[in-house]
Amino acid sequence: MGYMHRPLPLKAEIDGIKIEYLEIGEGRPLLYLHPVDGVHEQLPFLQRLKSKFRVIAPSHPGFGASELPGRFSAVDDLAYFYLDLMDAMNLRDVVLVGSSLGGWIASEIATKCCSRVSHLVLAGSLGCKFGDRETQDVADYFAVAIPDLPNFLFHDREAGLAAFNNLDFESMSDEEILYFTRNREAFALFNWNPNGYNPKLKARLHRIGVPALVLWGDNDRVVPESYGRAYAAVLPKAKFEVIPGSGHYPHVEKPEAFADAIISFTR
Amino acid sequence: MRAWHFSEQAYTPFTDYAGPIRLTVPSSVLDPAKVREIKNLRFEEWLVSDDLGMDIMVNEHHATTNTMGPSVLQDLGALARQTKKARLLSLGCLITNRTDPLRVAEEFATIDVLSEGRLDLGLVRGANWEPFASSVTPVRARERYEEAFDFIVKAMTTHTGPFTWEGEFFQYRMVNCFPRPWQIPMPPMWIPGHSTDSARWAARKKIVFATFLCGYLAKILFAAYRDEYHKVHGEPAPDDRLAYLTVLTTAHSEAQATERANALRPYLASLERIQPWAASPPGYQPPAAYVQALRKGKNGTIRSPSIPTNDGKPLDVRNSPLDYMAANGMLMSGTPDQVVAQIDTFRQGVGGFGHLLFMPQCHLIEHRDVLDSLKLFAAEIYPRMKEFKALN
Repeated sequence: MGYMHRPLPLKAEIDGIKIEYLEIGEGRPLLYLHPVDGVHEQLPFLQRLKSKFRVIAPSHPGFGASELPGRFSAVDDLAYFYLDLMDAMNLRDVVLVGSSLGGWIASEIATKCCSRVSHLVLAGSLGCKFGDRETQDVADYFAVAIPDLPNFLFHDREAGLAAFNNLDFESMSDEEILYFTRNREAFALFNWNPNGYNPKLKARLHRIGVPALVLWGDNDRVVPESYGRAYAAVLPKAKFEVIPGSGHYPHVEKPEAFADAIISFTR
Repeated sequence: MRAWHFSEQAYTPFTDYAGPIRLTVPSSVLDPAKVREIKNLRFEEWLVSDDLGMDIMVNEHHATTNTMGPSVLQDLGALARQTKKARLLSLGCLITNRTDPLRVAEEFATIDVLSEGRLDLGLVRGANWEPFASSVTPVRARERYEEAFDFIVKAMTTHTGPFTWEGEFFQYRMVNCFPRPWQIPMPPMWIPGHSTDSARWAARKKIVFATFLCGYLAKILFAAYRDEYHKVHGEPAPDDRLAYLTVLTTAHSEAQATERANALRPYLASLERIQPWAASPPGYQPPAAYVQALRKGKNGTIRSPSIPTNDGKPLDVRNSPLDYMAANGMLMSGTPDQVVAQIDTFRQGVGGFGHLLFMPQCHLIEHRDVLDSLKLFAAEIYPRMKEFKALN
């Protein structure tokens, strides 16, 4: 299953920002926040989640075909954007799920206001600083050449290659490649400095009163399992689970285990 | 046409390390005593050019063996005291990596005073790999650059006491730039670039636009500059608004010049010693520019654009014949007569420019050959360059 970002079918305008999103399934709302590499409708974990949830998955402002307002410069801006999105869509009892960058955004949302959130799921989440000043907590995504991304992001390089359409850019559409390069640019805006965290986030996590599930691939080369355990330890009501045989993207590499963990956590 | 003597102050000869020369090369490869010797030799060469009537250009780069000058402000501070008459061009101060443009304005003003008004002030966005050596995201670096530019101009030209600045990228409570610059209203401004957007921006500001070692891309860039300049200011852009940088050497015979050119050539090849990720950070170019580069590369590599040439054939900096290198403004070499013809042909080919930024020293060339080449240049090439008729 290729993971390369594809256009999402629905359009919305929130705070004057035009975004694309997808909505599939029925049930309680699940807001999925994607990592740098985006999201699309055919991903198997979404297909599995849609049997239990009304899944809403936007492209963040600046990613995919969603507009980037000039005033946006921090993950904080994305968090406020999603608070407004939940208001505008009048979502209630939301299961808020984020992968990597999406987990960072979800954490920031939940520290600001949980009135529309019932459960928080963080998978390979970035956002906090746990190590000392001479330790790089989050591996530098930008110091990885594109041909090395499958190995960087996945436990199984072959699975990673398949996810990136074998890096066969020659046969991809301009639109697909543009989404890929645009996502990287937006990530460099929100994530260049500091690399992978908001220095204030850790001390705010105590405000998150809803149950949280922290999911981690057992072979995550971007943020190690110990980082995930530290995240779970700071969240007031968190449970930590490892997904075996997975790297940084368990939602792509182990879609069934990923979706089932969410389903059983929210049951 | 004016001639500006430039050196990158590379750490050379440098043969016992095979990896990339940007960012990750350990500083253990450097011998501080050799760095000192290199800098002393480069300064000596610049002082000779000062005596011979040429102007001087310096640059800066970070975390690379190719540049032992991490701050133009430092090197120009020294040159301001040691030189007598050369104009001193910063091309430039890597403002993108600087967090405090007020310090930059103050230090440039000091250099202008020390040199009694000989400063030409260029601010640069930096090379593709440079954002990694800084804490500043490459995304929106152009907007940040433009704000820093406007701020520095205002800081250097305001003499009525402090002003405040509450911009998007920089904020200051009280800006009061001391000393004030020698030149009135301020030193001439320059910008280097490799895109028509940069050229057009410079044209709107009427500042000097320079481009480096890019062959016939210069023709496209200069045309864009002239077009924008004419549109905005209602008159043709004079040649002295445009500059081109080339590697250049001369000698008493063709054979001797070839020897010197071959000693310089490894510099051009060294520019390719860069990690693939460092060559293409997100945000350095717009996403659309990376689309075609990814499509042309293999398996996710981003292919650098080739150097446009006068006849559309590919140019290989390692192997192309020297006359082809000269015809395309990459490496000019020969007897003084030959070099004069090369400069003239190239400037006419790309539509004219008023400043030749030339690099007589890099990599394997011997110091004594640099000095000899500079003397020949001053005696037999530069006087004839000054007689070139402006094309515009």
